[in-house]
Amino acid sequence: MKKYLFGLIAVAIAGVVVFSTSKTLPVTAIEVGKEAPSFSLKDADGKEHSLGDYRKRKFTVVMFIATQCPISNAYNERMVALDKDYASKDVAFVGINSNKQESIDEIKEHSAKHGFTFDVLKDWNNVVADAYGAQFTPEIFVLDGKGILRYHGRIDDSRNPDNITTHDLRETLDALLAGKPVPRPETKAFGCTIKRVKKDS
Amino acid sequence: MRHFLVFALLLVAVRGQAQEENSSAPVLVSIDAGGLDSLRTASRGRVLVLNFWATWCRPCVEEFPELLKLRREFGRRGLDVVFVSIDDDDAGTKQKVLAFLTKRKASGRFYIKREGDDEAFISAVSPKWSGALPATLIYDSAGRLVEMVVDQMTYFELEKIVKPLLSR
Repeated sequence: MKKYLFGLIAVAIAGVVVFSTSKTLPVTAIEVGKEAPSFSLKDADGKEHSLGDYRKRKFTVVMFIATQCPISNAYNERMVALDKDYASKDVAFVGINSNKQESIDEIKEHSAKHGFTFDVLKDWNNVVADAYGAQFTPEIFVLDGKGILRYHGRIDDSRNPDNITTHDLRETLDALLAGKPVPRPETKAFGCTIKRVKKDS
Repeated sequence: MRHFLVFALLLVAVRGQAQEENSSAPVLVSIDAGGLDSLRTASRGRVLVLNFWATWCRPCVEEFPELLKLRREFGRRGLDVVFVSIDDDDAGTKQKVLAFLTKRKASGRFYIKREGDDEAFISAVSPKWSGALPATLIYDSAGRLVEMVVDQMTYFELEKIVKPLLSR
């Protein structure tokens, strides 16, 4: 009987170990040159926005951002400045918050506090982050009017504004608006992992 | 009685050693992409867990004790656990990282990414890595990348991957 009990306990422990180790492995981002998935998400006031609305502009900058990530927060002012500088050039900016632990109220307060002039949409269950293959914040995807991905990566090359040497997003938008090839369509930077909901695989 | 005395003395000696180990100061060494390669080469013959973290990264800070525990448990059984901080490599921040390590009673050698091109460093770690933190890369004793997890990990998750590699 004792043996049987031990066996049962061992199986139960093994089961817990197996199920508790399922991890989200690195997701693959959509490729530059391919069509980006469409989405429809609500902002903190419950208003629905779809990618189609933004795509009426020449280019759309989709920014995966966070309220709690220090790297994303280091870019708050820069994102507002970019939106201000490129709004008149027919470029739309939209923030997406896919972090499971960041609430609507937090997003609303965060946007107001930092004077965000662009919409921030809540991506519950990280479905849009999964569709785009977004992994961290802040992570940028630039789409053209047809929804084709033209740039993927960072805003610039330093979280510290004093150490920036390349303004990648600005250079990308300037090239696209001038009808020139994007200098570097894919770039990398350090950022905070998007906190995803656990899904059974 | 004699046996008891010997046992008691042994116990004191072991505890003293453990305390000494715990109280030895952490060392923080700057590292670049080349240094990372040398480190991976030097670890051949042993299983390597390479963790990228930062003091500003909450999940990194949360998983830090889990990795320390892994190092304690398997360090003498063929496992290297190497921590690379990507906090800024300046005097003030280095002090902050050292204070973090000391507070967590972490002893031994720790690394901090040398100031320079972040993108080149990320690609040198792995072309498949986006730069998202925390990131943990696990190599077998032949130096092959077995697993890359870009998420917070627990001791049990790490142990489940590492243990079979150690018994190979």
